[in-house]
Amino acid sequence: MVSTGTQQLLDRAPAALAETPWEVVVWDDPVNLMSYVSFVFRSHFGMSAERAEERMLAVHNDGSAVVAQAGREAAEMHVQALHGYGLWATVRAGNAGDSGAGA
Amino acid sequence: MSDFGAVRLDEHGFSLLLEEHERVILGDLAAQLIQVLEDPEDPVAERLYPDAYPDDAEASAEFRRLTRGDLDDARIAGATLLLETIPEDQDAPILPLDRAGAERVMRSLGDLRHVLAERLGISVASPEGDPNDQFTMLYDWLGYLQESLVLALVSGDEESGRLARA
Repeated sequence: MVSTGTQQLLDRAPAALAETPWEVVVWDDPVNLMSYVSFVFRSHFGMSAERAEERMLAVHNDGSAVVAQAGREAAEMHVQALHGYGLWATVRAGNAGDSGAGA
Repeated sequence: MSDFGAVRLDEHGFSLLLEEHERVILGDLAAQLIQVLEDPEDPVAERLYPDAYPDDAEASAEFRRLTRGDLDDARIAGATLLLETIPEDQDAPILPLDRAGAERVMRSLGDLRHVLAERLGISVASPEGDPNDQFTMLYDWLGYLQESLVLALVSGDEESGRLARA
């Protein structure tokens, strides 16, 4: 039997031990075509057509959407690649409990 | 052989289907794009290289310093390829592109739209260009060409198994 305090520590441990995820965010812009953005998501991230369409619409309707979670270096590489496609992409430290990401 | 709007996909590859005057315009735009990309001070750079860290100017500058050179090189190579695809001699055929070339030109058409959007003042706050501006027509036409290439690439990539079928 462990004390309440220790139990709380144990409950938090898995999240604390995991590498802090960074989020790749794509922002809505008036220039890129919807079909183009979907294709980039499929081609670069290997998303299914359905997933790419869903993320593209999230960008379009919500103004921005998380399209990938990764370690910082990998997230930055995604952002560089997306800038190469002319997409408005940024990186940020992930928020615990956030969902909707994962390519 | 399949046609996707302004693009034909057949055993030779991806070919832009352009009228004579369209060839002149697109060749001219591609040449201008190279000039714009070679000018690091051109305002379109803010669109092509947005801050990677919106709340951290220093980190964004460092990110740009590390990434922009390679992306500029790739962009100039793409615009050059687009230019080479459309020979100045109107009697010469438009050269078909392989998959990588078509993908590169697809991006260049997007780069051109970013350049025109900058000139037209198109932004998140003002997403529609002036319908009476001749550049708005070019901007829309470039979108049509790009969408044609996207559709052809999706079809080709699904055919080859590079992309899972929808």
